Amino acid sequence: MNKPIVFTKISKAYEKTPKTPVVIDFTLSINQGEFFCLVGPSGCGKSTILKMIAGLEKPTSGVLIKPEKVGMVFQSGALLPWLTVENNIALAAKMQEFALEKVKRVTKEYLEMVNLDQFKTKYPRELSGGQRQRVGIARALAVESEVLLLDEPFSALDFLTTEELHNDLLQIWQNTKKTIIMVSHLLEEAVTLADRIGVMEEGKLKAVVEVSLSRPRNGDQHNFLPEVEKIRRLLT
Amino acid sequence: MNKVRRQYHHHYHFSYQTTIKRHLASIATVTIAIIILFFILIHFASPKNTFDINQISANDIFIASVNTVVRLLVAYIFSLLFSIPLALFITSTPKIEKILLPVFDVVQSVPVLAFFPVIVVFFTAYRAFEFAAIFILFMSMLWNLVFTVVGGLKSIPEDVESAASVFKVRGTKKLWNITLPAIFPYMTTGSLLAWGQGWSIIIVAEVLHTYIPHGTVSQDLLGLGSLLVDSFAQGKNSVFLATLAMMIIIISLLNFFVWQKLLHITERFKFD
Repeated sequence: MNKPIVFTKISKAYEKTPKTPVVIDFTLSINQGEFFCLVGPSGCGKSTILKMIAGLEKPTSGVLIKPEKVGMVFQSGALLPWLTVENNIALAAKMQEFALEKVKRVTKEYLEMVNLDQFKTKYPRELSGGQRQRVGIARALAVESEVLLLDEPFSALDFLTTEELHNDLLQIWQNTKKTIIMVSHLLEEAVTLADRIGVMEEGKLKAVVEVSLSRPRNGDQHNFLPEVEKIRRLLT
Repeated sequence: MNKVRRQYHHHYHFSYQTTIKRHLASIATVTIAIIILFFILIHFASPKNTFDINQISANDIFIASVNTVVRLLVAYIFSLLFSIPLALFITSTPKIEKILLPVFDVVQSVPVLAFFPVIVVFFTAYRAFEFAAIFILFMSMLWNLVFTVVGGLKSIPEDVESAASVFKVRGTKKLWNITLPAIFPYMTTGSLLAWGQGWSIIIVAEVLHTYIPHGTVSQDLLGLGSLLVDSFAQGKNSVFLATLAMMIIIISLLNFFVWQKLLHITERFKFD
């Protein structure tokens, strides 16, 4: 049931004139339960990789082995403004054909996991940016998939909120043992969170770096900045 | 009982507070609405609308108001029912959109009144005067709704569309849970514009005799539009002013009790 996600010589080009390649010969295996982060400059194809895992994009060539069901957190939150926090989460669960009791159970469970149970009757517009992303995380968890995808979820948040959400995300990862694949343009964020970091440039996977720092990680930690610099050098 | 309720919810996937009782109430409401609409259509199919402008009473002005509002309402309901599937079809693929949007843009820019004589001749051949008026109102209302709904569909954020796909919100579930709520603010704006257009056209839509060869005022439909035109033409100033006042009152009431409330509610449905 819990297989790795395997990309074998995956390429993706959009049907434009001339054809624009966004991903070229991408080969990678992401292990079950791993926290993997993709980094790279804007337009390097990292979000396209995430969309392929989510089934939102199809590869032009190559073989991709991926789970049928995933949970995904979007940069904008992508919450429905007419639904309460609780119903935003419940909708995702309901669409998985879960029985009513299970819908109720997972909604409650993940609301509590992201510490938003007291906000369950609020609407997204009544929440802060960080709280909205927590709802997004709870909604992604509510589909009960083995894989959680995050597309630059913290890029619009302030430093303190981001740090808080990093800790929460790591806590969730440790509790649920899910495979997490996150796209980020912040190298410090990737080093703080990931087991391995995939460095992308111009549609190609340039390198995969294993982060050997012990957890919990932070900028003051010995070897943290050299690790960041190591990845930065790969991009320049 | 609990078991039955659970199975019911599991099967239909409505909001989980929904109960069979609420669904039966909804079905009853829709049935009653259809029956009322059916009687209105029967009445409108064989109208007794002949009136003498010299003998108009306050009661006649009231009946004229009801007639006009019902005509507008029936035309609006048809426009709404027609515009949503049409807008969904237009935006279904980029190719269809590329072809149909310019076509409909041209069609909507042809003045609706240009079709009116042909429409009147067609409907009067079957003595379906009411349908002539409703059809012309429908045509005048439709495009406002189609283009605003298209705008609404295109304004749904890409991330929301992606989230719908990832979380398997598809088909009718997507229509009810995402598409219709997302376009609700646009539908409201379009409806407001459509009714405005309808009120403008009513003055022409009810005065059928000008389009019927050798027509007389007795062929006009009793309504606020025809009362305004006929009373003005025959110098009946008191009827004209009373009708105008009634029209202003109805438009103001609709604005206050319907449109302002709806516009307020739409705030809840807007994406940031």
